[in-house]
Amino acid sequence: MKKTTIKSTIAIIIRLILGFLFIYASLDKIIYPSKFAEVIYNYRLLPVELVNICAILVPWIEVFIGVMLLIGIWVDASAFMLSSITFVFTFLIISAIFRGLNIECGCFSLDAEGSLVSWKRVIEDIFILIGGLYLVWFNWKR
Amino acid sequence: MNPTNPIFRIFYRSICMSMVALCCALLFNQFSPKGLPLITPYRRISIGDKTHKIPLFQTRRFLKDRSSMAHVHIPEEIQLKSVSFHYENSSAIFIDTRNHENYTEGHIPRAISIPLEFFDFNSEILSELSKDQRIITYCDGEECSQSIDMAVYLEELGFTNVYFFIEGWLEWQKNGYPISEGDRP
Repeated sequence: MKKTTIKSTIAIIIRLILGFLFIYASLDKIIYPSKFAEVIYNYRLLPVELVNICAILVPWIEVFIGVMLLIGIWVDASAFMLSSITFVFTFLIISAIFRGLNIECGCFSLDAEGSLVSWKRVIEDIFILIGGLYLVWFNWKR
Repeated sequence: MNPTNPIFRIFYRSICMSMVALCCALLFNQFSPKGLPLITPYRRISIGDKTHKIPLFQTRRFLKDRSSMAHVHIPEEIQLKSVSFHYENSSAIFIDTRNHENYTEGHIPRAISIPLEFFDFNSEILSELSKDQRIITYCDGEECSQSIDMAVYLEELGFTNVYFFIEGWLEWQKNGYPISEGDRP
């Protein structure tokens, strides 16, 4: 198998996995916006007034990233946005851990018991970030 | 516009995607029954010297957290049904925390008027009350925070049975419960 074929196969697999992942991650947040707003507020980093607008906007950005990755249009920009947003999420989780906040992560589902902020979540995010950056690199000049 | 420079291209596309996502988000939020106000409604809760901005969805949890941390009794929210029960059985003192004008226009019968801005920790009225007397504070409704502030003040004074009626005067009036007019309880 040629080297380029391997690279593009890896890129397709990553693209599909991340696409599904981001669509899945956005569903709960779109269905229960007020619960997601609470999750955002609990990080204690945003001014109170901006919590709702973030809770409204962020899930839809995730949906768009997911859909674009799945259908393979504007993959470079989608992967760039995915990497940026994941970078911010990772920073938020690490900051919550260091501040001793035992709060819901809000990463994939809004199930409080199953997804508290932890280093496990950080590692997951780092893997997603690596995948996103790979896609940006792969699609850089295409 | 189709910039060939990868950086420009990625930024341009990212901005386009963000704009479309923003429009979809706002439209969906507008028509969804679970839609949120764009600016988060919040209460200002004064505790000691500090004023906290607490989103409406957070008030109860915030107060409960304080309770578990400080091991002190904190005021609790009370619902309309319980408020009407205590009204009918005369088993609580009502404190109207709105200004005198609003109180004169209409209030819960037997409610005492103590506007928050005139609250006096050495108030004679309060000194006559037993510390375990059930007290229910209220203001206009969900957008005001005076009832919570007042309840917190009362707890600081040693009252142990204080409740704040979040839905307040608007909900009481809307549900057709008795009202009194004038400047007397």
